[in-house]
Amino acid sequence: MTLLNVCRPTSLAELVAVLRGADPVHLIAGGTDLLVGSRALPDAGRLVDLTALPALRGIDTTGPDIRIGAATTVAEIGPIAPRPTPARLPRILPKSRLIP
Amino acid sequence: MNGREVSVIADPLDRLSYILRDRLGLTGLKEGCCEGECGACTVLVDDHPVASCLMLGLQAEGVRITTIEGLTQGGGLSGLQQAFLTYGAVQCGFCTPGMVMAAEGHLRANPDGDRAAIRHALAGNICRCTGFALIVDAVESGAVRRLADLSNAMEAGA
Repeated sequence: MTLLNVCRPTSLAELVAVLRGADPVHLIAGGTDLLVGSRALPDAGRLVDLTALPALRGIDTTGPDIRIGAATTVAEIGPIAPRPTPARLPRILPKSRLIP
Repeated sequence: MNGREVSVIADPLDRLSYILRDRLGLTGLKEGCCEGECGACTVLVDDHPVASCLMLGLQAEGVRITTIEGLTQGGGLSGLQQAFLTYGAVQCGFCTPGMVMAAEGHLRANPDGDRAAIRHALAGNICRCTGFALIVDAVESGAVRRLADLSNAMEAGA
């Protein structure tokens, strides 16, 4: 039995309010920080799931820069990353071997 | 969950893979590495392949989950499952449910069956015995069959 309180903010204002609270906060999105086997799981505080927050997700390629939300998944980024279009990603991967 | 609504009371840190296997009896998916590397626990969440060992049950609130058990059609194997049999794309079988679900998710989004794209889509699923060539063959043939079915259905409808 854990003493974790669960919270799934759906707006940045809600998230900020939780982060400013007194409880220790454990964030989870893709799970690789919190859930990988050898790491100790938290047993108290607030467990905050970031996956219900649309403001942290998405890729915007409309401007001169590509903006990628912090909670965007690698699978979502995949379609724009491996293509041989150096002009598209110079700021992110200037010398990457991903780009022939 | 495979077309029906399911409620589970769980610990906040219960992984989706644990809930599916140990609470709901859906033992098709396997827990291999439990750190998102091997792909054996892959299920579809809103049609996207996800490693269910790295997802908490609480993150699955309100989503559509499809497991290997949910692919069968009218009690029989789906075309993609049948293709794995036909091509002998199975040896010990531990990775197979995850392979099939990763392939299913890929084909739902990319029905054209491009071989390089299939290999990329299966890159997160590891097979330690039979190798990957037959698996890619099976998925490719599954895609061809699916496109043929779709085009037949459209002709029948027209």
